[in-house]
Amino acid sequence: MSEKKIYNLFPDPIFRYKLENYEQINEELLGYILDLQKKDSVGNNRSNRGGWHSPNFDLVNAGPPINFINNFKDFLKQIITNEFGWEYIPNKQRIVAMWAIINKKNSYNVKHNHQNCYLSSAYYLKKPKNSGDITFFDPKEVKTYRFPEAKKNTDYSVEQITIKPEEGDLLIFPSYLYHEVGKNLTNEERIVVSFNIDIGY
Amino acid sequence: MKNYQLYKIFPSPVFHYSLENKQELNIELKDYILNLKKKNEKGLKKSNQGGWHSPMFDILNDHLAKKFTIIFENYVKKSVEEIGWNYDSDRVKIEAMWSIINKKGSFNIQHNHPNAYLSAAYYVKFPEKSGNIKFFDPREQKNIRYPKITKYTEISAPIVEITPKEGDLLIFPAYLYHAVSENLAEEDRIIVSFNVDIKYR
Repeated sequence: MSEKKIYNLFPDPIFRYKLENYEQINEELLGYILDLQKKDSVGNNRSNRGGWHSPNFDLVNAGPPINFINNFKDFLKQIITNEFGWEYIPNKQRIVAMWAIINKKNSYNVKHNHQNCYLSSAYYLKKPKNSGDITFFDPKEVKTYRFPEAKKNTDYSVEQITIKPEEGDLLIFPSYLYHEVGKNLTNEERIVVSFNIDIGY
Repeated sequence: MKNYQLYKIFPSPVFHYSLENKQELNIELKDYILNLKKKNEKGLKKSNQGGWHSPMFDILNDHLAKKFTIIFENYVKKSVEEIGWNYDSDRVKIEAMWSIINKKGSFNIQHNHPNAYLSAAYYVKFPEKSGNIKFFDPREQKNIRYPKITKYTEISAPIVEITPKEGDLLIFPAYLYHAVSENLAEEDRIIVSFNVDIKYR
């Protein structure tokens, strides 16, 4: 037999990190989010369909959002430095916006990406089974626009990948990656916290 | 131990085969190519800078060209199946085949191969430092703006260079832009390239 090697070039990375003490973080964040909802029950209209999109969190004053950030900042530093190989300068990696989305039954999020930042995230505060998983889309139009008939789905032929996170999971991914969230088929609410990270020198 | 998971999704594959009976094949190919060159010293002008680009091999009529096609088709089949596309020998076809001879100082500028699904490079003669092939990240969104890179990783690298050996065959998606570095050796670098198209309906 002839030898064979396959180089898997230019993949899109998705990091999945389970927060330490996530039960405590979730309780704090939930109180903060429900408070915001009380003050602004209409919320914002973005990719959310039927769900409530919160106003942006307060990232200046001490409080649950800052405690949340402190919980994963070492992880963030690790992936920026080791996985991406980007220069890490404290205070130059900024969380530019953070918000929550509450999807009640039948709510979902349409396909979108996050502009003017490098990394985006979804943190799962409340994630009942069948409440809607996140699907990522291949960013290479050159591949997905015209393609031969597929016989089976492989890492090379698929055009979308669905990830099923659990409560306490934090996903971090490149902001250019288009994604959507499936319909919440349960009677319980699905609550995520999302944020964008920009890096400036 | 990493305390997180990393999914690397949507990679572009480069299949790297080392052919059986390559010595024999390389002698035949070299003869065939040098014969073509005698008849057409000028050759074609494509991505070649300083090198000789052969006219297209007559793969429909020429006995030897047909034989080369049949040898390479085994590897095309493996790659198509690995990607997960439906392989039907009547529909998956090598559509064009040619050779490039890069003498000292020659190189190939960045290009891709339109109207094909897969492209390939087979190394008939590859002296040391005669020019590696470089593949370019197809995601413009990622490459037009990015943080300062201090360490190139699988995730941040915009270019991946492969150093082949004589008798190696690379098969890759035709959309992947690539270039060949300057031949710094005294000897010629000789490759055979081909495109694969797949017709359905």
